[in-house]
Amino acid sequence: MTADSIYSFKKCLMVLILTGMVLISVGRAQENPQEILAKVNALYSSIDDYAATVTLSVNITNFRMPKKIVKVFYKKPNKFSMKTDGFAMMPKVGVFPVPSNFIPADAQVMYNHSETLKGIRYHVLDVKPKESDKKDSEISLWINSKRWTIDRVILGVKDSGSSEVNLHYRQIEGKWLPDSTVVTLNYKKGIPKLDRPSIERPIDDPDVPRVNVESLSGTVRLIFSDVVINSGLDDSFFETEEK
Amino acid sequence: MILRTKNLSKRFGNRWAVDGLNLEVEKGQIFGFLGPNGAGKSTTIRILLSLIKPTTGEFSFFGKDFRKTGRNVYAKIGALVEKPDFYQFLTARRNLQMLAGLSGGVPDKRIDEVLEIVKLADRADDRVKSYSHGMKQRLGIAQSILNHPEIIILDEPTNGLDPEGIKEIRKLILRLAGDFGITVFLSSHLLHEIEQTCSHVAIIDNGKLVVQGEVHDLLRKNDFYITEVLVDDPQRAMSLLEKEIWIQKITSGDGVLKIKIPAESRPRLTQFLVENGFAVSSVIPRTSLEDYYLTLLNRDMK
Amino acid sequence: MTLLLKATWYEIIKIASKWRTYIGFITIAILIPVIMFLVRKYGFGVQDNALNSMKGSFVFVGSLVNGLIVSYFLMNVLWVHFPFFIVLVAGDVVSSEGAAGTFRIWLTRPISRFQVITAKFIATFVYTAAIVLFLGLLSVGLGMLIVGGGDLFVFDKGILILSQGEALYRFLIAYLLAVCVQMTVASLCFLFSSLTSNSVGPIIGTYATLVVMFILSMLKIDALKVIHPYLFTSYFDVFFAPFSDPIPWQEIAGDVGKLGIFILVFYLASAISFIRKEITT
Repeated sequence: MTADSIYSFKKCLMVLILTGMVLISVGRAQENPQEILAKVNALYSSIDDYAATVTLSVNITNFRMPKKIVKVFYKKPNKFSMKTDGFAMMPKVGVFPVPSNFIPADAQVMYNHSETLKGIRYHVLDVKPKESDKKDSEISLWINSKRWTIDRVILGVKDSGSSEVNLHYRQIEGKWLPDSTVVTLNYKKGIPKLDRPSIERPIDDPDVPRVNVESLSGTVRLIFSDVVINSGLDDSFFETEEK
Repeated sequence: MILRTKNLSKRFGNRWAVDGLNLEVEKGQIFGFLGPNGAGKSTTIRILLSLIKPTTGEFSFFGKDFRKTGRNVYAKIGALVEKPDFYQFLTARRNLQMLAGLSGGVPDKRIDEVLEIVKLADRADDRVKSYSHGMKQRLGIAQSILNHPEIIILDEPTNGLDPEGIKEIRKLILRLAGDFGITVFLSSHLLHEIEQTCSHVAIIDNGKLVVQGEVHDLLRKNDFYITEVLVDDPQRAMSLLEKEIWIQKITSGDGVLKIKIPAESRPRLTQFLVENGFAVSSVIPRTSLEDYYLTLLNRDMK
Repeated sequence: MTLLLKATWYEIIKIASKWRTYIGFITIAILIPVIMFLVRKYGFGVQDNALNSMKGSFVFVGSLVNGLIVSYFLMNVLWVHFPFFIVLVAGDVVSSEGAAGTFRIWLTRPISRFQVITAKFIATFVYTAAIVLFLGLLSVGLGMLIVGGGDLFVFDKGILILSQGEALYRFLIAYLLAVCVQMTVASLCFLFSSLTSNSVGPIIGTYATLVVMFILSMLKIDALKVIHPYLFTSYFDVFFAPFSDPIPWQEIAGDVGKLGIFILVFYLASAISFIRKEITT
């Protein structure tokens, strides 16, 4: 290579680097976590009410439950209701993923990084609650940059474990709404392996602390169907019974 | 032979309550089974009714050994053992219905019939708890005739009854035997009642049979004779007779002399009185079953 | 056979005609509605504690407090308390007749002693089944009526939640097994009753036997493990087995078989004793 060609190469490289830096800075200027969350919230701003039938399947260590049908209802701005025959346990995250549902109002939201998974770019946000009783918990959100949906949530509690929520969507009346959700749990301390009553132990007392309680791991799946939005839900759907 | 026992024996510990008993009861008899308390009467009856098992010996009903016929023979037998204990909390009718059911089935009409016979029809639907002792006794007899038995076995049926109650039971027994042709085997220690009721009798003592036979025959064939004599001067007659060694016993009451003599001395008595100048108004034989029984068992105190 | 059936019917009439028979029924009829109304008013805190570890990640929808969970916990009375109602009647069935003298009339019928004692045993079984199923019907039925129906929360290798339909089916099996358990108690008491002429003795004797057996079952001493299979109380927890998933049918069949052997032995011993008994009263 000649001296001139070397000089030209260095010049091009500098331009490229400078251009890249400019582009990055421009990009960084767009990765404002509040703005990202606002885009996610905007997705749901046009939904006045929402009703769906959720089929719930639970598969957790030392816990068995039959498949349950749960009716979920949402009405703007913050009315939620879930109804079922008998009893069901629904994950806190993953039913109606409006950020305000699981992000405390006083939480600190920070942009962590972005990553590309299966050709889709995700913005990863970290949420740190400020309330003293939740300050050991952390929430990380994976937000789909194409459609601005929350596709994954990881909720971690310090020294206890974490749960990962993967949400899948489909379009209903032009809106991206949950189609299925899978919650994967991994906590150090789970449900004690209480046994059925026997002659030696007529009734197990769950209050008695147990040694060597197995970890809580497993999955909870939610499958959404019969989704109806903006049907003019009455407030009576949200009245709770005293029990 | 409607009932027969052959060397029937029962031992409790070292004591033989029944010892080699041989009884024979023919159809149609009213058979009295006599003996003092503890003689073995109830034990014998309980053996016959399978309430207790014999130690040795056998018994038969209707000519068939009980070991071959088994309990089925009780369908033709009625029984009342000691005091009748019913289910106090049930009515008389209900008690009889259940007993009838266990006897192989008896129509309801029959229950009304037996209640009529024992004169309890108007109290049929009252709880047995409200019954008097006499009524329970009659109900006891009612249950014993539910299934048209050929023989009824009654153990002390007049126990605890007042004279009127005793009379009623006696009349009932006589009616059952007379009108319905039922053979009656009854035990008692009321000798006077047995004498008025029974045609035949067996006497046991300490578990052993002492004598058995027709009442009149036994009284006639016995070796003593008791008579009531009416004379013009009973006091003088008594003082004279007392000195005679052939007079076994003499008592006086209401001007009547009751005299016990050996059977063969019967003609001698009248002769003696006449020879001694007494005007004899009447000489009436009065040998009772009680007299016979007490003499037989050496319980008579001279 | 007809005679046996008739005799059984009469024995049932006799049992039904005594006031002591109704003590259990009346107690249950008063206690169960009271308990259910109290639960309806004041709640029943069980699942809250057991599901503590889930509260962080889950929202509980609906409630596990319903008549079924109360009925499930009420089944614990079947160990020690409930047998009192059983022995009250079973202890009286044979001995009372000896005391009352009614055997003198009853046993002079064509019916055999074996049939008499069998009829009494069957009648005792009918009473036992009636009162156990009455408890089941009232606790589950009134529980659902007063507190409400729903899913049943039980302990089985952790927590098992059964749907209402499943729970009702399992309650039915459980109470049928409870009949078998209580019949074991009844047969032991029946045996004692056939040996005496006083109903107090069989009642106390049976209860004493139960208490001793429970103590021996619960003591964690290795040397006592050898005798556990011979204590019929070791199989008393079979009525909780239907609340496992899957239902351990083999284990249930085994326990029922063993209890059946105890029942058969007690019955045969009663029969032999009664047949050989001399009625001297």
